[in-house]
Amino acid sequence: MNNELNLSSIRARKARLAAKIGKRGQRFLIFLVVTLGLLGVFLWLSEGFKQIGWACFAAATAALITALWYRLDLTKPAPIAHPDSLDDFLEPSLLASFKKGLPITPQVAWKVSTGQWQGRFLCNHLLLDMNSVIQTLGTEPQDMDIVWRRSVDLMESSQTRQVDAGTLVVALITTSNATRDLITKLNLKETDVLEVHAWLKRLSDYLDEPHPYFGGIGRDWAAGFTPTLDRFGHNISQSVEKGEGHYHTLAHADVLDGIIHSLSQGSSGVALVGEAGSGKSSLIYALAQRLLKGQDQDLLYYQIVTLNASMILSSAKNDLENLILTLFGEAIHAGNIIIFLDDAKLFFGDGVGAFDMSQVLLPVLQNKRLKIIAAFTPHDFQKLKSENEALASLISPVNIKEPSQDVVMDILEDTALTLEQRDKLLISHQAISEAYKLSGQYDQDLAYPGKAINLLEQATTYSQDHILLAESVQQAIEKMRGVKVSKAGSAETDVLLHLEDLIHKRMINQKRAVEVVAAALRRGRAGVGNLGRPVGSFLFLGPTGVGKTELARSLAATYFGDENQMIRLDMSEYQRSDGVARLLDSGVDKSGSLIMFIRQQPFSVVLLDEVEKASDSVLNLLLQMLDEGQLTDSNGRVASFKNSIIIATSNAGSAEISKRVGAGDTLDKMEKPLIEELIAQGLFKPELINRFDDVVLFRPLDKKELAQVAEIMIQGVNKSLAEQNISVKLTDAALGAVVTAGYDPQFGARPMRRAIQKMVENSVAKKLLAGQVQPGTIITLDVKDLS
Amino acid sequence: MVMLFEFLRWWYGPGWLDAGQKAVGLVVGTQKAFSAGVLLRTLFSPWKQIVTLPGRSLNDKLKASLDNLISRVVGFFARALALLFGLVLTALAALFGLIATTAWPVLPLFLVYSIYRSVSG
Repeated sequence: MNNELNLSSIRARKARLAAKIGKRGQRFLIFLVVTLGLLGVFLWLSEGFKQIGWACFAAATAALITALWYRLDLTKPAPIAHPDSLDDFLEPSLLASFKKGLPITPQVAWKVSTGQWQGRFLCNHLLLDMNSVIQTLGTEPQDMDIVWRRSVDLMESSQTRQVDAGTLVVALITTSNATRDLITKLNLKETDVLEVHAWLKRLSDYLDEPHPYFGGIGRDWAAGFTPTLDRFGHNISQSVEKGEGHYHTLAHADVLDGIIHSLSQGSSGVALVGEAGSGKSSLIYALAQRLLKGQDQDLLYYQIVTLNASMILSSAKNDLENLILTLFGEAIHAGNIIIFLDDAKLFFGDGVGAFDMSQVLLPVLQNKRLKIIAAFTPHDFQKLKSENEALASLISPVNIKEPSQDVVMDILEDTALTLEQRDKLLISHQAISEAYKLSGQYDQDLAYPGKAINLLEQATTYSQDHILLAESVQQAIEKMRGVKVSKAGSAETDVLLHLEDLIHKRMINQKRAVEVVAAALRRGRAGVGNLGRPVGSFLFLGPTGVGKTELARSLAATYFGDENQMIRLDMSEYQRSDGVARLLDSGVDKSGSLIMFIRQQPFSVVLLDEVEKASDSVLNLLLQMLDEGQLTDSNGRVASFKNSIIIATSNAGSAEISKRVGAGDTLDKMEKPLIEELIAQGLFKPELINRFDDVVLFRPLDKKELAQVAEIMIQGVNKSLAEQNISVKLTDAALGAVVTAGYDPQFGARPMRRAIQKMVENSVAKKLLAGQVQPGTIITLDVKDLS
Repeated sequence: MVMLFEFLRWWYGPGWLDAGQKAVGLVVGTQKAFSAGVLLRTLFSPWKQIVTLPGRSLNDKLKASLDNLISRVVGFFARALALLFGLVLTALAALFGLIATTAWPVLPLFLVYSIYRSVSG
């Protein structure tokens, strides 16, 4: 094949003629056929007008022939069996757009291809500015050689027979170095361009598909009436016929065959077992469509009806069994109904708004009189199996697995088209990729593709000028999950860059510890950390009352916005063999497990106090948590710690730290030998120590630092008094007395709280009760005033 | 001239074949629109599954049999009528397709003839 575009070829001429006639021209031709034909008959029958009548016939026939030629050939010329030049490959409307005699350069090709809808689709969905791209393209006809070669390669790799405008746009972008540089600056890769090209191809294929045939008149005449089912259910098949709902067969095409096989082979119940969001409902829509197409003789034109559990329950409080029997009776009698129980646990008495119909269902399934499909999560199906073995044995389970990333992206792209049409907006490829990425990172409740679709739908409300950007998706997840994922603004950047100063406002000294956690925070926020592990993980070692917990609390407040975003576990309670089970309990039946807490608050500081006291099996579990950022609960469901900061604290080695600090050693110097000593003593295993991002030593506070702690605490007292417009101030002597009373070398700042309560708060309380203090007063306490 | 030859090549070659296929498609489509297969298979089935369950007494059983017979007769007539109507339309579609396919090669000749008559009178 040569790389020449022959615009004088028959194919090119036909394409230009088709473009000239166009759809409006075709309509006009049909109008001429009818009017001139009728006029011709009238004139031909009239005396003296026969000649004009023949002229009308001639014109009508010419119009008819042209209309037929246009419709059947010009608009869709048959593929060339042995193509030998480029015009044999070009899609007719694209071919017609090239002007004869005008040299074809990349810039000309860009203008022509972006004038077609396929070219615009590609540019719009990649958010490419067409005018910027054209500046980067070549201006010489010979520059087109590589573009044409690339176009044909793309056509062959996407298994199509024509080069359309979209393919030409992709070839132009990917063969020019300057254009590639431009898209790199826009944070796009060549694979993004190719992904949108594949998306365009799927859309083109869909548009070329003939309208599906769902059976004709009399299709349902042999099926019975279902008035009660119509009231308490929703006919999915009818929705599919009307073109409602978005569904796809991309993810689980093989599963569809399995379901049809099971139901055709006499099994009356099928359980779709998959996590919420894995596409069970979508699969049912796809099944309804397939059955309507009438390809499966055993289930020819069967209709799928889903029952509304809440409506059934609210309508038949006392006569539930009769209503269920009526519903099943109608479905059996109709003879063409498959009942779909979405979120099937509601029909087996589990959860709010649930009822148990297993006693009615059991004989129906045993007699194989009704076909039922029920959707379960793996946990719910397991529960049904353990609680109602007889019923579960009658239902064939079909596992719905999470699709691969490529398939999820395809599903998202197809869903985006539905959303674009519904909400009249444009959803960029960048937004779709962001929805995939962020939903994976921050949504632990749903599986793919459901969680990504959910996020994309939520993000539509954040579109800018009817365009859904990656930033719109970031805004949506920030609102939904309370996390920060968008690029830090100037105020936030300022906070992040001066984190140490902010933390030191509530933390006295412990400079190294603050530096280490602040650095982890910045890494997490900038997105440079390992996404497969927790945001940060630290082992804090040091004596009691030196600020380990306070630093964790500061971290929760600074990073997660609230110091209550902290999950605190006393690991000394996990010394027994049942520790692992308690940690991994899903929390469905009992409350208070780590798994349950992290699911409720995935964006938290997890504080594991006195970690060295936990049993070996619990510590082994921690290894997994630190390494993989996830734990699997007793039901096999994964709980992620990838959005949390894990801090383990221990007093081990505190005596040694105090001794060495007393001897003038720096923390840096003592860190390594101290850790080695703790390992040698068997307090920590090396593999656990190595899993932490950092081991941070906290040194004991001296009296001067404790005075600063006391001042911070008194600020806290003043915060409480602010409501009464009163504040308290201590003289230097009084502060010294409080510090002396609150100082304990063994317990650090811990007794200080008690000392302030006893000496300061009690004194203020007495003065308030005695009426000695009026609003607006600053109470100055001296040594003699302290209780 | 090249385009005229191309038109004639198409009209008397792939175009004619395409027209024939379209005519067959029209007949098949009409037949499908009446789901003749389903109607024939269920020709004697009760109308919309309206059936009476037989009671215990002979009288009830006879009554149920009569009711069900009526339902089947109604079903038969409705389906037979639909089939007949479908058959007529399919026959019309076939006739139209046959005429169109037959007339196809004559159409350009008719154009030439009508031009000739309009000029020669």
